[in-house]
Amino acid sequence: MQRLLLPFFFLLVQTACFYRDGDLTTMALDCQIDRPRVLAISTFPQVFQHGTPVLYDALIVAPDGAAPDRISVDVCGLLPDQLSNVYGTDCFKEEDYVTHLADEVPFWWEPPDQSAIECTEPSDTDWDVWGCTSIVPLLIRADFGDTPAFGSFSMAVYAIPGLAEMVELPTVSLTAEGSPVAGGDILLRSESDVLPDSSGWRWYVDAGELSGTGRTADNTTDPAFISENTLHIPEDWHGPLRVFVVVQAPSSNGVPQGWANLTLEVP
Amino acid sequence: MMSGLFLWWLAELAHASDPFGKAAPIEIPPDPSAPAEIAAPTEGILTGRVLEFGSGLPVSGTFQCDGAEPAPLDEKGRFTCTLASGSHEVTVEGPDHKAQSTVEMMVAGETLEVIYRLERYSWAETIIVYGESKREEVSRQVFTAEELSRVPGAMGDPIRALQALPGVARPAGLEGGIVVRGAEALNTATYIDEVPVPYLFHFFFGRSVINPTVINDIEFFAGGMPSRFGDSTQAVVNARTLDLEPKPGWHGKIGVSLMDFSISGEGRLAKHWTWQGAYRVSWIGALIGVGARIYAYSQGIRGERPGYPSISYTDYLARIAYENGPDRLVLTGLGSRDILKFVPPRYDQDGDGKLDPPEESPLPYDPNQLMNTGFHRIHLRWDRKLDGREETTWIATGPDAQGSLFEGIGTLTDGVELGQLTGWSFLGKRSDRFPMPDGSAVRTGIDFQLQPVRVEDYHSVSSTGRATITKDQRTTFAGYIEWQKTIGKAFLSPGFRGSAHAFNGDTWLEPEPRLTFRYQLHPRWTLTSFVGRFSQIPPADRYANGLGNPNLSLITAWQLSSGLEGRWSNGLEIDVSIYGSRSDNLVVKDQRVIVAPPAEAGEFGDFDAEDWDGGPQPAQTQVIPTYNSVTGYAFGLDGMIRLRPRGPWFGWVALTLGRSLRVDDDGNVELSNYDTPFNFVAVAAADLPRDWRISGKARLTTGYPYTPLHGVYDAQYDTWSAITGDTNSERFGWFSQVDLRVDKTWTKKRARVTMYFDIMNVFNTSNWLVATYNTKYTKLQKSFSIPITPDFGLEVAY
Repeated sequence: MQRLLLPFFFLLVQTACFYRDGDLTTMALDCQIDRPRVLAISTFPQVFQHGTPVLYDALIVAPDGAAPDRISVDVCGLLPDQLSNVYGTDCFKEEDYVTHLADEVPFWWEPPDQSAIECTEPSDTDWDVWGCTSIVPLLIRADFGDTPAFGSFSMAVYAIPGLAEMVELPTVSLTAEGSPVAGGDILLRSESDVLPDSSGWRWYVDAGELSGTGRTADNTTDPAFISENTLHIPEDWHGPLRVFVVVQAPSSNGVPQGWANLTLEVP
Repeated sequence: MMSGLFLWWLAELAHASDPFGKAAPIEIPPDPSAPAEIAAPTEGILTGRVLEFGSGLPVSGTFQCDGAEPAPLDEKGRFTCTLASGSHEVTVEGPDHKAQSTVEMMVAGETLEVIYRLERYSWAETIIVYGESKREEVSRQVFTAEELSRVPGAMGDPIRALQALPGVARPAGLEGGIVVRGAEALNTATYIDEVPVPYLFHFFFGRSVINPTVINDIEFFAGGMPSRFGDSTQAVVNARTLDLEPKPGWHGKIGVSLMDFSISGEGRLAKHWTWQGAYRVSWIGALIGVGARIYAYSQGIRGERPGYPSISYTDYLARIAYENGPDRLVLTGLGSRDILKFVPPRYDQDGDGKLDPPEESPLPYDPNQLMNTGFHRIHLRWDRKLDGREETTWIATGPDAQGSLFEGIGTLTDGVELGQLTGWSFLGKRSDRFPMPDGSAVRTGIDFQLQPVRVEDYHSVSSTGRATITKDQRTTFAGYIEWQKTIGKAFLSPGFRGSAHAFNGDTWLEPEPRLTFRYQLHPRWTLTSFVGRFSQIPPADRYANGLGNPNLSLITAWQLSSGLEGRWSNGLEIDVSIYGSRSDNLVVKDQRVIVAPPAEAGEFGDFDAEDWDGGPQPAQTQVIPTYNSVTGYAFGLDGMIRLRPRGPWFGWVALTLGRSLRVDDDGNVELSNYDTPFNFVAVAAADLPRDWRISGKARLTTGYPYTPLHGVYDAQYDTWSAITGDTNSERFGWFSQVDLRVDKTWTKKRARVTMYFDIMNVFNTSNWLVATYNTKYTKLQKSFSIPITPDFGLEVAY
């Protein structure tokens, strides 16, 4: 009977193996800096068009505070005379479509002139602007030896002047109450000057458990500009222990993210 | 220490006079109750059994000791003779078995106990060809159907069992495919009686397309093919079915397994005429349909019919042969068909009490017909052997089809993806072997392949509503000459094959010189060497517009190998070879990304442009399969110690140490998909008392390379996606598997019933087969591996 079912299991696997569900539990508990990671990206202003330089930054971390050996920032699928909608990062396989932007963060970049693209004249609505927009991915790669870390976001580049969205970057603070000790708990408190978007607060630590909500804290916290978390420090941890918190402001374009960090000295 | 013991064992085995066919003389202990004064004996006793070679069943026949009257064997095949001291000729035979005469040396006062094994006439599962003693090539192995059909894990299929030979990669899953020395499966040419066929295995289950009962033996070249083989750059598998020698009367065989039903038969129609036929049909698809309906009924579902996947395969062979003196004329029809489809559910939505008719698809293909593959051949062959000269002429023709709606499926990577290939093959060959006055021989021949093909690419259907169609005429004409000369202890065979290939609008003229050299170092040891060039047209789907890469060129390869062979009369063989090859324009599968204008975009470009007034339509990215032309390098060592089936047991140990690399146009070096640095296989089979037979196989190999994925954190939406890393830069874990097979046979009058039980992966080892990453792409996890898998079947032969 097992043999009988085998081929159909194959069919099931073949159709299912490319689908990956959200695995929310794993995501929520993915708070430890156990590998090189790009934790956050920020852009300002939140409009990408020729004539408007944008400041790009990223929060790149690795265990033990290691710095990346190499950083590369690229965008893919941005064509000089054709609008394009490029979703995901497959596009980066094809070098002909890749535009290299920078070898470090932060950096300034201004999208190229795409005025050759024939678009309808903008009216008072966003619709016309979005109708003349390329959606392209930006990819940040940071190499730590042989281990790469990647971060990305999807960027809407206006071929005609757009409606500048001047969303300010959040200013974030992070404090700890009490003295950190191995095996003990410590209360963490973060404040932001803007209300986070629906993704809420994102917490990251070198080690230990963030009790309650893991790395996330929903933004129904009262007051909503504050997030508190409790870190249980491992019993065998001694020395510096880093904590990071990331907040993203609501925006229809770009990544207006702010972050803060502190280092606890565990005796 | 262990290696020393092993070599000692080998030496003992090699020098034993015949340790497997006959038992050593038995010393009779003195009887203490016997009188003290006994005259010295002058005679010895010869006693033993006569068994059928392969099955080990007792033969019902006669024995004849040194000219005495023939006497019948008992029901266990036993006999006893009392013979004077000295040498005597013993002859045993049976109505269904070929006679065998042996000279035995008798010693006065001793009992010699022997077992004789008789070859059955060419019928049933014991069709046996004793390996050919004449060796003219370097890398050829001839395995009997008996040997290979008893390899566990191959489901009784002798062709599939080739995957247990040195240099042959293990299959990625259950499917077939002979991947040799790190090349792609498409670089192994597949033949039935030297007639090219597009594939040898039914998909999914990997059963071969020939009923095992009609296979005489399988000729396998891991490389170093002689000039008579073309259109292959790595290896050749040639299943041979033409050794017809049926006994009088008609005979048949019926086989039933969990997967399929088969029936076959053969017989002599008249003095010069024989026939042979075989048919196999799967019933797994029908079983699934019935099961789905029963399940739906048990769930209280009425008035509708559930949907289910249906798999079916059939294959057939029908043959009539005329043989008279030096001439033999054979007409054969053979073919295979595989269908995988989804039978859609049907409902009674209008409430009229009848199931509504199936909805018609607007697509230019049936979206429920997931795979549809097959071929048919009519083959007319004329052989003549006269005065040492051998002539063979044949023509063959028939349709081919390959269709699949799957894309990027890891276990089905060799074939059309989301498309359909149809065509017709016209094939022919003439070959001659001329004996020369100086003892040498010359082989000459010409062959041709004409294949008009049509390839439909369905990738464009979602954007244009139409398939992209490519038509091509694939043509190969070739001629060859090969001289075979023995000079002292050396055998030299220089050959030259000239090929003219035409496909995709281009023509190639290819010289293919080949040289085989053998030198007998010792009566048992022979040094072998080969160097040669090969060429091959890539499959049509790989260069068709849309589906493939139209810029592909002819695949060519140079091969070089050198080795050592050891042969002993008791059936022990040792083969060791080192090999190297370079292949140009090798076709490998990859993916590429295009940012296509809206009219060509598929996945997202299906909206109606006339209704769009929000500005110009954007281009879209598409990830599409593609085939790249690379240079391939392979090198390594493969070896085998084999005991041919001359006694109650046989088997082999095969080891391959090799690498297979690919170099693209930019000079990037990558591992081949089938790069396997270490591949070890051991096979053993034994006859047990009471007509039981048992066999086992163990395999240990390095895992296949794979291309890793790296997680990309989308900071905007707090999600993860993946980006591909360097091609084949990581490797799966080790693969190990043990398989067992047990056969039991009952014989009653002229009927014989065989039951087999084949267990694949006895220890339920969890090997890497299908793997997925976790959500963050930080860890690769096994999604599925083949568990312990039993197979059961029953065969009745008459």
